[in-house]
Amino acid sequence: MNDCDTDFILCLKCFNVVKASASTQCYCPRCYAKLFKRKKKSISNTLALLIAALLFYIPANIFPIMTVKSFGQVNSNTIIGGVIALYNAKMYFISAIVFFASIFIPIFKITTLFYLIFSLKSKKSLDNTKKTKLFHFVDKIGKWSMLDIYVIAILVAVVKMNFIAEIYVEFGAILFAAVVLLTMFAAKTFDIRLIWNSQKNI
Amino acid sequence: MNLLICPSCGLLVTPLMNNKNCVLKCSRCNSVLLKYRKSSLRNCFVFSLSALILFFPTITYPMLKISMKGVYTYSSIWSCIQTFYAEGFILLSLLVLCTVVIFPFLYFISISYVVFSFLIAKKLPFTRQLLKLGFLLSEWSMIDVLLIGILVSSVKLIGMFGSDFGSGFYLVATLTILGALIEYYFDKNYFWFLWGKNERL
Repeated sequence: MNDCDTDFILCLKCFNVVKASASTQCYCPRCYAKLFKRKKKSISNTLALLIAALLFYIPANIFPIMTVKSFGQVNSNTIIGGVIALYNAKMYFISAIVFFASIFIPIFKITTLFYLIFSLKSKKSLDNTKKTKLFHFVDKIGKWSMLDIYVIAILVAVVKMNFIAEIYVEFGAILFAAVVLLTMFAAKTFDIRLIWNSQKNI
Repeated sequence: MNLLICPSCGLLVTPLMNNKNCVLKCSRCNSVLLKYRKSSLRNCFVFSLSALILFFPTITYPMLKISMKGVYTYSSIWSCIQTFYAEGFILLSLLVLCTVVIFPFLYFISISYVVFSFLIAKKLPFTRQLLKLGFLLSEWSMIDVLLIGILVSSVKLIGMFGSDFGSGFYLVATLTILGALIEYYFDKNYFWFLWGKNERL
């Protein structure tokens, strides 16, 4: 039986099951969190965050994320430029890691969440169990996009004191960090239980 | 625990608990509902306390060292945050500070405090708040991502300098393992159930 068809509400903070009356606002007796059958404005909030993430994603890939000055040469690196440089240097494994973390994961996360939202209305889509697994996967891998931000932080700090080369952080890094955070928040605001609402009781 | 609701699909489940070392999954969406691990309290306490002891050396010890023509430099987590701040990227320095220092530290401290209160079976102040905080921060702690970040940085530096891992790198690796072990034993539902039992004492 689905919880929507009963008086029971799940507290998402402490997983307590509370029997609630329909008329009054209900609080969890265990952790005092506000209780809702489903997260409030989940779809609109997730959509807003996803659109914002998508708007940041394009300039984050156009603007350089860091500039390297060494032996009189100045190289500004974009995210994709960094991946290509690693590939050209025959560091295939590392270039694949950076590609997945910085390019593939954010766009995969954005498209998957868009798909999950629009699949709520569409009849032709994956079955709900697969969609739930897909959501959990996307939620888990989201933080790995922060990899590039940490790489820049380490490189800038380690090379800073060395007068042979200099590495500077560029504006693209902020935009990219915003994409990562927005997609993470989007996954947190989306209520995956919505896809099961239309399902007949089992 | 007479009744559970699956947080992923909303199915009402009546759990059958006859085994101390088991994982309960939702019959409809296959999501994990409950994890019962043997000695989960003792192990969580040991691992979180170890993580706390190692935490400050991890922040300050050098993770990566480079050398070129007699010039040696290194970067620690703290120096990374300071450099971002000095370069004027305050938001990025805050982001790194929160995800690598503040959130993991609060996560480890809240887990050790809460588990300690369960182990001594006494109601300690702020347990509920710290339990909530611990669960919230578990998703925002990114020490494991930093570990891969150090590896990628060292490979990127190979072409330019001679790079070497410092003791900070091994400490970050240890914290990552400890974090994974805590996650293995730490179950939201079970810990809140224990908290409820503790409250009634």
